[in-house]
Amino acid sequence: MLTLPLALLLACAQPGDDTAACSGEKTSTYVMSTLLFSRELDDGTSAGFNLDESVTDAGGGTGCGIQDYTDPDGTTGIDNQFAKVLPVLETTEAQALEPLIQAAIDDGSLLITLELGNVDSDIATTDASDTCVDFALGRATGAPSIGTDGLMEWYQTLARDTVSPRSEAGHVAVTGGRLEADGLQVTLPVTILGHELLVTVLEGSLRFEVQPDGSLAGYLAGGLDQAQLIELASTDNIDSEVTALVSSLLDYNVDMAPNDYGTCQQLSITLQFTAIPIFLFEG
Amino acid sequence: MLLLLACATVDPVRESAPVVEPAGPVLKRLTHAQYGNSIQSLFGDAVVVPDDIEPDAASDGLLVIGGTVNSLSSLGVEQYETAAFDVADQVMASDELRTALVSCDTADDACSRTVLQALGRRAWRRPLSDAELDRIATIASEATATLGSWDEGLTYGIAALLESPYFVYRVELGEDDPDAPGERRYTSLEMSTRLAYFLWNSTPDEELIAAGEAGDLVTDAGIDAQVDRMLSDDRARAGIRNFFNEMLTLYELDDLSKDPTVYVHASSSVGASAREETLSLAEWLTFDDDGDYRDFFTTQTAFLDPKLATIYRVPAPSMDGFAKTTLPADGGRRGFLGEVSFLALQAHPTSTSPTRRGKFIREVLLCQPLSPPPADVDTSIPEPSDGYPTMRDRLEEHMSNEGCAVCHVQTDPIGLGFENFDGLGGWRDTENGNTIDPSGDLDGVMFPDAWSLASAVRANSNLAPCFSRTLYQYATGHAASDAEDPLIDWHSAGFADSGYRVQWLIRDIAASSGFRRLGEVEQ
Repeated sequence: MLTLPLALLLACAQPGDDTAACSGEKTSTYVMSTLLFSRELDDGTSAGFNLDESVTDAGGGTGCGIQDYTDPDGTTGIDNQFAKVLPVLETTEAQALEPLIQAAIDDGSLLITLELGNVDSDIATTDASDTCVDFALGRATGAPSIGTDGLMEWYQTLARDTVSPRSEAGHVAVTGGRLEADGLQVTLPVTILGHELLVTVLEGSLRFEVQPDGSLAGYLAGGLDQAQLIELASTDNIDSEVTALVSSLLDYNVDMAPNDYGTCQQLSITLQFTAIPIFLFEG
Repeated sequence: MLLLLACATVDPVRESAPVVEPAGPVLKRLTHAQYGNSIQSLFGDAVVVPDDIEPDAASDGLLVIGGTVNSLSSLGVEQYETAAFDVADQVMASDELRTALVSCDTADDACSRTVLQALGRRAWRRPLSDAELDRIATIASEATATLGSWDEGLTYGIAALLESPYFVYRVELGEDDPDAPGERRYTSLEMSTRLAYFLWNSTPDEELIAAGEAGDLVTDAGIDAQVDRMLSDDRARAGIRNFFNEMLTLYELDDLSKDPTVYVHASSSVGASAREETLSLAEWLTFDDDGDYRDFFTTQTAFLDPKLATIYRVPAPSMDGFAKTTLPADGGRRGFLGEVSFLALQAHPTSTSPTRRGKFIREVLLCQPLSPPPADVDTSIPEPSDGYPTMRDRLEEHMSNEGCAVCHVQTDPIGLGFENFDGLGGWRDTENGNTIDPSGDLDGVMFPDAWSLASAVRANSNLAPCFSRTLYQYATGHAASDAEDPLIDWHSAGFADSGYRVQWLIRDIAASSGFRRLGEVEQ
């Protein structure tokens, strides 16, 4: 169960409406080398996205009345209720969640790629701008090469995962080294604790900024399906007390995708990532 | 007019080779590689060659010459004995290897003698005399009687052959040339050995030794025929790889050491990968491309594994092992001088070394030996600081000392051209926050960066003659004397006329009087 939130976001969006490719000829590919949860900060803010495009106060009429966060940059309406759930989870066996995520990245089982196609010029600068870039999320396979600093080596070559779905998000713009993409529709088969599961995320969003050293730093957000989370928490090798705790937490915090009766069915989550440039082996 | 145009495309007739005083014979101890190749040629690739034998030491830039000038220690003698028994034990303990060696099925002295006679001819690269065979066979016979085992007795006989100086050393003393009174030549059998170690870096095979026994290898036609055959054999690829390994001192990559806190790409496998990259390029250029030697320095063709591709910031051509690829034209890196094998080896564990890089080009590639620094000169350079943030700044400060400048002026203007490559060979634009200036000059040819420096090296008039000299010395196993210079110059001129094709030069040297003739044996 512990790697579920990540796995959700590996998956793919539907191709963008505009199918004509952008005019550039270059390709830039990155792989997420670190992934952390976007937490609630000391001042009560939390970085993320306004996924449901509404600002919800406690008990308000949108977002199932779950109060949104404010981003450290002042943006209101941030949907990231997992930040509330996480501290509670970490009092249980889920306390090693982030190290497990990093281990999965380092051993090659969780390699999420960001692919920028038809780029006009070098994208790896903080002032890079390109009005039309074809953006996609995908996955890679292989054992990443780790440098003597304990981090994944830049510019290594990883094999394209041709089995897992790839998301072509369509045309996006890069402005001042910043890219934003949304509408990510995610469907992904994942294996967690030996269980084959099909996970779906709706309304996924992503943004990143090019860093001075050429890496990317950004956020990836979406909604976790409540029913699937409960199913995962009910597997044989999860302690029954944890199962009950997860179920309770979800009941009180789901804030997205209300059904016809106004009952929310998804839990918003935001992940903070860094990504390094790589090459994809297509052979 | 048409006739004139046609004639212009015909190669000019080559002048005859100059007659020079040949070098005297030298006793050559097999290098590690030659020892291992010879053992496996005799018994098969399944034999694990003992590694613990007297180490190689280069002389005049080559291990093969080191094998002629360095004496063998008493420990080295013991190591050869231990290695000989190790190999013999392996052969007799393996049904496959034993069957391949033991051609008779009677476990008696006659069979031992038959086996040892055949093996001795291959191992000593000549037929054993009756007295020699008697002595070796007696060792086997007495060991059989003492140990009560024919196999163990034969093991002693095999070991005796392998620890003999006639196996460990190449004994080539020559003979009077019946066609040229007063002159000496290598015998036909000796020529089979010389050709084998020159082209294959291994012992002669059956066909070559038979040609030696038949007297074919004292004739031009006989040598040409065998060289043709040998160059088309895969062992010639191993041979040329060994030559480049020695010339470029790539064997030092075994001990490549880089500070992991400085170089994140450092790993225990980088040295071996770097050597394979360079040797693959040399092999491809020589045999597959049959191209211009000078392209070794400017080609964008490279053979990379995933680790090197990561260091070079290019897509790996294969996810498993080495594969051929083309380096990008805008990547700043090409040819041997853009490879980790050169850039990392000619650097320090924690930093680059323009001096070492420049010195390597002067001495190894252009054959311009430099004097060692005087004993009383401080060779250290200033540590990086605000005043001297880049290596160029630090070396310029160092060169303000006249005693240092004498030599550094010959090396540093070249080596500074590689400053865009760090001490492991990775690309960098800045050093301590300062933009790197990789400009310099090579013998008056100004260059803005390493890409252009590669062109300057390629065009240097000393490059191809130096290669000719080094290959000549590798083939003959001795440091060429001044008296041989005209002959080397002649080979070099032919090399240029051939389009600088390495295979052509190998053939030319194999047929050379410098390779086939020798001076008097010193008493």
